Amino acid sequence: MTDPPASRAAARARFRSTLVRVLVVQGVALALLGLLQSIYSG
Amino acid sequence: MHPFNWAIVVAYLAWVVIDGIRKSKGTDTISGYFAADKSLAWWVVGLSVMATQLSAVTMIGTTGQGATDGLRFVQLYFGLPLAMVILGVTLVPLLHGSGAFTAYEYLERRFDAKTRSLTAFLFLLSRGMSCGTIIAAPGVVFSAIFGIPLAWSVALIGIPTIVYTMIGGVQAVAWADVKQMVLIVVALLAIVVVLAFQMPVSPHDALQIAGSTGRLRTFDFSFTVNETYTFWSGLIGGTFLMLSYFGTDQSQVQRYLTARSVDEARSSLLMSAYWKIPLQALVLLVGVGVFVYYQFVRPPLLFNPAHEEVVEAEAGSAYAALQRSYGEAFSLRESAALRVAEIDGTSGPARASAMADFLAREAELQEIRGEALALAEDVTGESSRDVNYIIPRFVLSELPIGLAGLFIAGVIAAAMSSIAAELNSLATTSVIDFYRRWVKPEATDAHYLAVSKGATALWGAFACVVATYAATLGSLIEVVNRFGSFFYGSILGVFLLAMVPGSRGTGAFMGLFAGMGAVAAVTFGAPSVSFLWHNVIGAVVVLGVGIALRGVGAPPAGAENG
Repeated sequence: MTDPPASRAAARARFRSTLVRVLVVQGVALALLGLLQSIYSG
Repeated sequence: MHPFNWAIVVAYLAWVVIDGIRKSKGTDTISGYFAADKSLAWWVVGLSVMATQLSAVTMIGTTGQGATDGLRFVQLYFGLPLAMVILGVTLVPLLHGSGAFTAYEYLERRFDAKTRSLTAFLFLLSRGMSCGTIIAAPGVVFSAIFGIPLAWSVALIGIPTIVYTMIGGVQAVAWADVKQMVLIVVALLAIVVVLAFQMPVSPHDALQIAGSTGRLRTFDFSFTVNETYTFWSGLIGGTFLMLSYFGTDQSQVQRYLTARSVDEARSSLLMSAYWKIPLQALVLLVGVGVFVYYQFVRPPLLFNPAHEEVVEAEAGSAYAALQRSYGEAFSLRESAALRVAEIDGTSGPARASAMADFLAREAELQEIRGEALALAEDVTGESSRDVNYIIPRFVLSELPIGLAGLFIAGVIAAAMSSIAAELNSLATTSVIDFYRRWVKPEATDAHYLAVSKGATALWGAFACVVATYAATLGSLIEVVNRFGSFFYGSILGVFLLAMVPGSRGTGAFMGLFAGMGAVAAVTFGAPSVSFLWHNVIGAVVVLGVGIALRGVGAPPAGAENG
């Protein structure tokens, strides 16, 4: 299963943008949970 | 339960079965039956993936865990988004593009027949037994709550699931999962709304009370391999666990093999990457909300009604004394909780003093609960752990008529969606990896279809029998589950090795045994190491052995080296 170079580069770019999007959304979710913990858990 | 609630449950079950049978159109070939002719949209597959993972245990056990232990359990899922992204660029294109019906079928093309058969056999062994436990968990709770024999509650969940899975194949399973996922989320939101309206204190005060008991403490950054619920165990161990589950377990792989294209398969997994942690946090928050609610409304001393009945009958005076102490302790704790809620701000000496008093009252109450649980254990001779009964008892006593039925239907839906995926994948693996591979390689689609339906029915019957005798089979199930944890990471290692150029079947097969051996050694040699790390160890050992044995043995016919 060897991709040609052009599609490999496109796959890498897709992976990077997907990774960034997922990390941003999860970062927001975790930040909210962290906020809840820091305010109410003393 | 009120007849109207039962009517909702029965109407839901009938709808799922009838619609499942309707969806059987177009499944007269094995490609239709096992892979829906790769015709499903990403959102159908994505909801099916989520519904499969969300079982009845999540609805009743995880919410109960939220009530007793708070939010920290969510850390288990911190590796999931990363695992989904990794799978999207590694195993998903490999498996979807291969045209295989099972993940293990791909391994024969890449390595050899023995590696395929061993991994498929290990899957059948562990999933066959776990399917029974998935039915048993809600079955036991329903049996106690509704006062019906266990066999009836197993049949209530198991029989409709077997019918639509057997007749409609993967397409019926996926579409039923969509309905079930919607029902599950609606049921959870219904509890949130009811809690919001019935809570005697404001949301801010409720959070103050929950926070003072540590139930809003999500993050634990300590690095120890002995703890399961820490940030690092969740992020590293959790990533490997989710890679194993979503990447190599046929019950999940079969979901995304039905997607129209590799891109749609990827998108279906990304739905979990985005939504799993928020959904899991919601499930736990429901439990936390119920905990706060029970600060102001007296909860039962024993949540398991079957145990309560036996204890009242056989140790009536001791139980009545405990009930009296419990009533007094509850009143004191309720006053202490109100004082915590009334103090403005989140710090200061007055608040610290109110919190200390509340925690002392809470400890007193829990001590009495502990005595009642010990009494129940003595009288019944069974484990009296009642975490799984907290939410069902809350739902049936506090939710309005209709919503209670909706929630019970939601729990059944959660059980059915997981069981259906298991039965479907067990039948697929039995037929594709064993029957078609070793017994009858050349036959018509009609023949394989008939065998597949028979296999689904047989696995369903087996799961129901295991569920009915779960209590008697307890130690056997535990052995199988423990054995399952030996090879989960190791199978992931085999699939990762498939992407290493030059790796061969001999390395994969030997690596699989070495990986399982290493995990067994850690399990027995260092039992305190959390199971999350077993997957990491298994996968790394298989990769190491497989890479060391690169070039040893014959390459597969038409070898793929990348």
